[in-house]
Amino acid sequence: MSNLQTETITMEQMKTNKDNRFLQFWRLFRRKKPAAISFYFILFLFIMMIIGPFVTPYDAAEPNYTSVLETPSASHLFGTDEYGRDILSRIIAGARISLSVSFCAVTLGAIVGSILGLISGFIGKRVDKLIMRTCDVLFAFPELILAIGIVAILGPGLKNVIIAVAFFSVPSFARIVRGATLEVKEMLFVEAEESLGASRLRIMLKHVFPETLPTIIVYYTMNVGTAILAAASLSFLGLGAEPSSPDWGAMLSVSRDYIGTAFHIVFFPGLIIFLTVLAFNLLGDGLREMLDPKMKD
Amino acid sequence: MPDLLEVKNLKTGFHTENGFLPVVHGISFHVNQGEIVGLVGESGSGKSVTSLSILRLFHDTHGEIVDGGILYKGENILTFSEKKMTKYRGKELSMIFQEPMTALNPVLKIGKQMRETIILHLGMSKKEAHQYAIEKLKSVGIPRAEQVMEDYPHQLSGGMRQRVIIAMQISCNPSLLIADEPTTALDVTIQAQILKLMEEIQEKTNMGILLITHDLGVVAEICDRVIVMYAGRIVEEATAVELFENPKHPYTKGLIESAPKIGSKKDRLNSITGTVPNPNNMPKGCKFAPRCPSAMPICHEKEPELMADGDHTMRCWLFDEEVEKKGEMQYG
Amino acid sequence: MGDDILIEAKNIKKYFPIKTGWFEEKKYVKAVNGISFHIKKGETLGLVGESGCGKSTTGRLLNGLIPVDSGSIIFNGKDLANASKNEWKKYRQKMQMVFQDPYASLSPRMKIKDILREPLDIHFKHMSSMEKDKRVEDLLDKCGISKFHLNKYPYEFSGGQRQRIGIARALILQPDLIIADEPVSALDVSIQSQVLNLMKDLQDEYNLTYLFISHDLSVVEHISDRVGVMYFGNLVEIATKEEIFNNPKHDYTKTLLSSIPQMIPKARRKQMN
Repeated sequence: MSNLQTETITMEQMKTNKDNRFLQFWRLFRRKKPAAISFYFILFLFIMMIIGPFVTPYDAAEPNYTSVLETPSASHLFGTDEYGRDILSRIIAGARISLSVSFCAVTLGAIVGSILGLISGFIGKRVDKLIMRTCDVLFAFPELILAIGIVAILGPGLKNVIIAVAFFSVPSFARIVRGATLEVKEMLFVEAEESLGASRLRIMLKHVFPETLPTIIVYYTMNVGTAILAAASLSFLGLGAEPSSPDWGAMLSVSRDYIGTAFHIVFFPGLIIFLTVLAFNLLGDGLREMLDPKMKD
Repeated sequence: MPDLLEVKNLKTGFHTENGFLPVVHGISFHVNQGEIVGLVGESGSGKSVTSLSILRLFHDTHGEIVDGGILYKGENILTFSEKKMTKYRGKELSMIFQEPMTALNPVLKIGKQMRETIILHLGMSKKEAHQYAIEKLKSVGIPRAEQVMEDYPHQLSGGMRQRVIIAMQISCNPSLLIADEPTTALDVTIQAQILKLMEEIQEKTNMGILLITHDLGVVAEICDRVIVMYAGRIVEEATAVELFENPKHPYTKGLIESAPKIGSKKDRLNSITGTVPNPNNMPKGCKFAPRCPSAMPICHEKEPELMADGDHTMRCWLFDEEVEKKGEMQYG
Repeated sequence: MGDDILIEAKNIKKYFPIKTGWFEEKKYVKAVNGISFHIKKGETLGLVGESGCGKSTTGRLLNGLIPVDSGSIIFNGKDLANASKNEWKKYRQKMQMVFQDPYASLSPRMKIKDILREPLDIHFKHMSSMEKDKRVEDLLDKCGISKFHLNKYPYEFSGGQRQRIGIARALILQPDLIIADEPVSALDVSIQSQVLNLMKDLQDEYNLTYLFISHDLSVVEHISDRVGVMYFGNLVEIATKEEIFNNPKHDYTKTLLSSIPQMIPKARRKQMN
């Protein structure tokens, strides 16, 4: 009876213990001001991604020829574009396209890259050489040129932008995960597991991979910023989203003709790209300080 | 004449994510000229923090000395400017660390590193400094000193590196040498050599040495006087002979008894139960009470003060006369 | 019964290549240079030596973590030198390791419960979950860790407690031989003695055989029945502990013995001389 009681108490303690760990992480994180503000900003973008189309003040696609190229005012906070569309509404609606493209691309790149990095680092020898030399070759191309090349082969369109951006983020993920794997592999607990008779696959998945996860998370966050830029660049060059769609890069691309006459229609899409990329980089930096064991003490 | 080093009611702690964490709780001790004093304790006893406090070496850590004074030849070094402190470090107060590799710059030749300190503190020319460095290396028993001057740290063995560090640290004839676990990373045979070297240097130069260690065997080997720390407090202080032959505090007794001794026929070691208390969650009374085999009710209630019995001091209720009387009335 | 040999190493060798330039001759470190010894059932063989003498490599060779270059290892009458991977897995069940650094040898992101269950998951696929849990709890209890800690992570424990967990993990498969590589070197003195006592108790209870690798002669003297002294890859002396400590034959053993701090204060020693 009393035994049972103590057990329930400890179960509860465990629970609070776990909550505390999360809360503690959160408390520490909030103290890192730039990272925390970035986090809120990204959270806000996410909400916009979901509810965006329902809250935009104007229809993002409907042209309104009575108010063409209006400067920012109370009715159009960010002004209007050459078809009289409200730029604020277009930016909100465009969050969906621009963010989902870069997230898909980075996720794809991270998965493939991490698997390759894990294999490369853990198995080593020839496999490692093969994977890493291939990565070196890919690294030798400027990222954007590589992406343009891929889109040129596959044809323009958002799906192919995703593939292109994913493709050039694979080698960097592979390299960074390989580094983390090599480090973890040398740790004593991996040897301890081996001495227990655990198979290499088990050690790799159950012990090495979780240890590299913080590195992957940090790098993932930072890469989203790069991917947004790359996707915007491709759209700017007319290789990505449809020019008429509210994708941020496409907006920039279309509006560049008006840069002399209506500065605001270039400025606001550019600003939002800048802020988003900055936010992801600052968040990544903050996470690295908290998660990356090398940065600790 | 004042003591070489006098630490008065030193309180040091660290600023952590969860607020200020005191590590050293008001300790006082002194080191005389020509004396080797051992500061013994387990991990978490605050012994290393004490040594860092004396040199004010808290660069990147969030450590802070919150109270007390550290008098070196009568001057309170806590009031020194950082500039003056830099001048004192290496010249007046020197320090030897546990891991000799980390104390040397891996990309500079030994000779260059030695010359730098010598030129800085003694104002010699490069040539003089070079000769002087070779002389010092020879004095710590390094053969082929000229050759070693041209070597990089990784080309030397651990014992050699520690000798180089010692040569470097004594090159400016400091009056006080603080050695933090100087032999812990070394093999037994090398340890014996380094300890012997330290003793010889001390006899030759008459400097004071504060030896910080967890190893009572090392203490017995070279120390004149011993201070035992537990949970950031001094729990016992006595001459080495007195401490080893007549330990008073149950913690000291436990430490001495729990070390395996060659030739003893005992099957089991007398160990101290439990673990060192967490600094976030210190017991209320005597910090050792939860692990103490002779703890009394008062030990869990009130922390004892240091009590003196001649040269021998201890922080334990067992040696308090009033408690003794009361105990007799209660149990006797 | 007591004289049965559990494991025997016959002239085992391990050379590690040193990286040299392209055109230089290949060089090797002779980590273990042809050593032979045996351990009887239920006894403790202490292996002492200084850093780089090959004692840790010897432990890993016996356990197969590193393959031997030549020589043979005979465990329970079977030669392991040419055993297949599967056979090794079976032998590993019967010989387990305890490592020096209790902070690094436990997988940091796993709960204690999972760390201890892992060997059972690997080797006893058919054992029921209840049975596994029971075995984990019993053994932790024997090693002095309350079952209320089962759901904690390694970082929540002190060094001594972690080493107890490491020992429990080594024992969970009910092995015959424990290879302990400096198991108490990273611990505080007061904790060292607790762990040494625990190891002795467990040996008595489970009739374990130990290979106890350490640089600390007093610890080795305390726990061993026989002691081997290693020096630069060679086993220079092996004998009963009384013989080694009272009547050392090899010069190196003598040097080693004279280097041990004696716990006799300096002033007293000077009086004695």
